[in-house]
Amino acid sequence: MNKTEELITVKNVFFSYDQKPVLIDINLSIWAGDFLAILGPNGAGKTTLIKIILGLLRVQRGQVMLFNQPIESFKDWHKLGYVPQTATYFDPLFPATVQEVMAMALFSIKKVWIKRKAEKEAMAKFLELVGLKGKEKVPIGQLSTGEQQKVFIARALIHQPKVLILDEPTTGIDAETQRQFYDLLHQLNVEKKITIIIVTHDIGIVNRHITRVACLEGRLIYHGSHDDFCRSKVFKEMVGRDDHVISHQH
Amino acid sequence: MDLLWHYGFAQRAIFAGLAIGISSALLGVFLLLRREAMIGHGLGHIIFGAMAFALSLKLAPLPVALIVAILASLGITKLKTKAGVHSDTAIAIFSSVGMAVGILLVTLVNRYGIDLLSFLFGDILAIDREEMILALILAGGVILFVLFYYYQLLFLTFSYESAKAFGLKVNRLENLLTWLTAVTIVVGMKIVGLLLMTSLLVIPAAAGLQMAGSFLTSCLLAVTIAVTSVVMGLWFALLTNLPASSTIVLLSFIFFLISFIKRRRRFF
Ligand SMILES: Nc1ncnc2c1ncn2[C@@H]1O[C@H](COP(=O)(O)OP(=O)(O)O)[C@@H](O)[C@H]1O
Ligand SMILES: [Mg+2]
Repeated sequence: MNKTEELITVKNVFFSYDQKPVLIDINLSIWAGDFLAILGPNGAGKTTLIKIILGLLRVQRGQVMLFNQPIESFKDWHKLGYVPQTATYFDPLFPATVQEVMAMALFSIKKVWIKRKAEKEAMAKFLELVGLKGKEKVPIGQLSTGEQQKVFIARALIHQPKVLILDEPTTGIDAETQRQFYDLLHQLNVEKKITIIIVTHDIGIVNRHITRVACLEGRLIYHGSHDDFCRSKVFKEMVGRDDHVISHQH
Repeated sequence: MDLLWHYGFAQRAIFAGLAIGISSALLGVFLLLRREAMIGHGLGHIIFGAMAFALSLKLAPLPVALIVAILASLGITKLKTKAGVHSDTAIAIFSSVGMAVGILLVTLVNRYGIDLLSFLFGDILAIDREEMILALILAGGVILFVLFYYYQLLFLTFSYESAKAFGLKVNRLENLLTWLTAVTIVVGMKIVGLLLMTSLLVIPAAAGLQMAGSFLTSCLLAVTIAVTSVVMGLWFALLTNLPASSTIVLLSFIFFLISFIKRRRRFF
């Protein structure tokens, strides 16, 4: 993969809910192969930024380019994989099995029964990759939060996306599982060459893997390589100022 | 059981009942999971008002009711997505207004001595040929829709936002689902009455969801329970001369109770 390929460009983006400005003049470039961590306190606008990149919220001012196309005319959504914020977002009593949740990503198939071998194999392959082989028939609500998150990763991988976007994927997951989880992301980043964008508070754990950092607080207060970040004032302030950036669980 | 095949009216009741039962059970699974269980009642009330309105002006009730139902479901959707009102609130607002208009019109209509009770309680044993054919066409449409959009509907129901992020055309699909539900309720109300229609939309699906371990089995169980309730309920009604709507509803409720107890037993 060409290291200089720019996959996502966010240019002079402003966003406000009703009258309240949330994102102010954001400029951000994401390059092929990046493992980008988006940091920032609660309410900083991290989720809003992700939703803009995913086309879930419309850009109000500024421009977003995805794979060199303006987001307004972008059609190749399968190139972006999305793992939403944990737990809160689905009904634990929803009667879908792991396999059915995986199959949602194959929604273009217009039949109840998935017959094509390639698709079945893709589902099995990615479930195995995230370590959930054999859980195909288990209702998603009966898995632990960590396992559910892995199912959503596996689902996001079915179309072999170029970019995987995760919004605080490890909230409510114990430290050991978090570590495994980040190792898995690292493996995807290095071996499968998937560009990763992750919103996280676990800077302590993710530290080993990330290549770039963006710090949000309405404005982008830092954007650069990980090594520079560790030497930067922002990092020292963050670590010095509060432990919430490192361990806050929201 | 011979009773069911002996008379033309009983055969029509069976076919129409099965058609509406199957469509309602399938749509009901999605409605319940989308927390829109009350949409049947809401739209039912509005349609009731619309039919009263149509009759008072000597218009054909079915087309008027269809137009009103589709406008009302669009209104509910708009209120929900644009104004950020919860869907049950949106449905409750629309159904209260519909009921108010309905009562108003019923009072006016009653001066002409028109019977609106049949829309409330219906008479599945008095269905004519055209109504039966209409019900069968409707069922065909619903079944094809669900089969064709199965995974899309499942994804939409599971998570609107993720489905959208994956590139699914969520608004179009949501509108299709809402319109089809509105049409089903209108046709079902005209044919079997509001009571039976709203029950068939909720109870078999609720029972199916209680028992199932997967989405596919939820759908299949809901349909099976609807079919069994319709057939057994009609048979029992013919045998005992009791009202068929009641026997069908009560039978499906018994299935719901069984599923409820079965589920709880796993925990105690
Ligand atoms: N749908 C919404 N309507 C109004 N305000 C919102 C909405 N979503 C988020 N906000 C506000 O926007 C700000 C940024 O939210 P968000 O992007 O979720 O922050 P983060 O993910 O960094 O915690 C917060 O102050 C939040 O209250
Ligand atoms: Mg957030």
